[in-house]
Amino acid sequence: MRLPRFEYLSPKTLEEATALLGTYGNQAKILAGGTDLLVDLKKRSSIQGSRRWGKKERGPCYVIGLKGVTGLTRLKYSPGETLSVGPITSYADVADSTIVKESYPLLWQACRTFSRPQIRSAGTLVGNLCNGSPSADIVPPLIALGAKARVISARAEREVPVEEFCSAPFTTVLKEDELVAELKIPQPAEPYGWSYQRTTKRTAEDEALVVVAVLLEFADRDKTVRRARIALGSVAPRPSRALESESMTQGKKLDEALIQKISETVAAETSPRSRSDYRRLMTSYLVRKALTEALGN
Amino acid sequence: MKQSLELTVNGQSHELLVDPHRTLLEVLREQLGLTGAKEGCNLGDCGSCTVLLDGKPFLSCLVLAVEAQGREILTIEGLSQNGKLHPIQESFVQHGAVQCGFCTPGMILSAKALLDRNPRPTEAEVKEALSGNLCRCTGYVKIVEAIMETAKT
Repeated sequence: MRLPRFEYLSPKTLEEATALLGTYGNQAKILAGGTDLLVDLKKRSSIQGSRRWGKKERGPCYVIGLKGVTGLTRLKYSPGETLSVGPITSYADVADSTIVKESYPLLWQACRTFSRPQIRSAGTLVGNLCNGSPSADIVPPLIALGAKARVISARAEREVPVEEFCSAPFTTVLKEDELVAELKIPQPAEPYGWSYQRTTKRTAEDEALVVVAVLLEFADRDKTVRRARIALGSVAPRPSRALESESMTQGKKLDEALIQKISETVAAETSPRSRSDYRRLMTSYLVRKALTEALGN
Repeated sequence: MKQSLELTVNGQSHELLVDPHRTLLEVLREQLGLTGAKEGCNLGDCGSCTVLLDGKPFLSCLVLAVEAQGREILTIEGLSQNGKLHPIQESFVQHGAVQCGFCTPGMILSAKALLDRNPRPTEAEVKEALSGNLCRCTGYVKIVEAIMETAKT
């Protein structure tokens, strides 16, 4: 299986990259880590793929690589404020960062357990978001942390909360001429607790069947919940928050009975496309586990 | 249109003309004659095309050759020094960790990336490091043993 022919464009700045996107529109595609895009292009150019997609949809004519722009893998951190993740920051970059380990343990945990080492070296967080998969591993933790995507084009700039970024399976709010220049992740307010849970078909490397990311911000040391975010992945057309379950925690101390009740409520907040009984059951179980763990974390 | 590029493979620099849609795996095997990196699934699942870029494991079937410029590329051919096998290779031989051999280059390079960062890994860490490399002979036990043994010495 080979890649279809395309022209490779290597801008030296993000401005050049957005100018190229402005010129070529849907003829062009941004290449970050390649772990989704290149697989997709190979499949499209195969005999089987061309039957499914047709010759016209074989792929973009222009691939815009961001490797030539300096500084785009960088993590920037302003203590107590935000963490900035670059457009081609890899999972390995995040997993290797002691700052993330100490200040964003939820994100760190998600990145270091993501897929396998080779995919962690290449794959990027922004790429995972832009691919728009309902089962994207990294999107629920970003939603739980209240992350925002800074989206730029040659004509404008806007910020999109990550929870609003995906609109349907493999569809995002990104327009043809836009790219994600940065993820901005606010520092959770102390004291807080967190948990990241996921289950797959067989091995840890498989696609997620259920992803749960929980962030509980406490009003005080006795762990009354001031604000909760419960983000779910792979159980609906897009990663989303379990708003009703979240509101049940508001101003409460979580005890076993309440956690049990929430875990029952949360199952009804999912709408899985396949294996729905199993996914609902596992969402319920993993949310119970996550809330219990977040109280201790 | 072909682009001219310079790749540093196993410490040696090569000037090449490459189509931009060519993967690093294709260029290593077909233009440089380095057939140690294997083409298995060619879709990023099997790990038999694993090479190290700046010390980190990558799937060369999912890296464009043009994007490997400026990085230190290490393939299995670059591991032995002056005809002497690398300790991990030696240990694979000693432990019978090579069966059909197809996964071996990828396994050894994944192991090298781990041991360079973490010279005394636990067995669980070794298994995690190999989680992206499939062995269809299912010879995992001996592979893990071989790596654990290297880590002891």
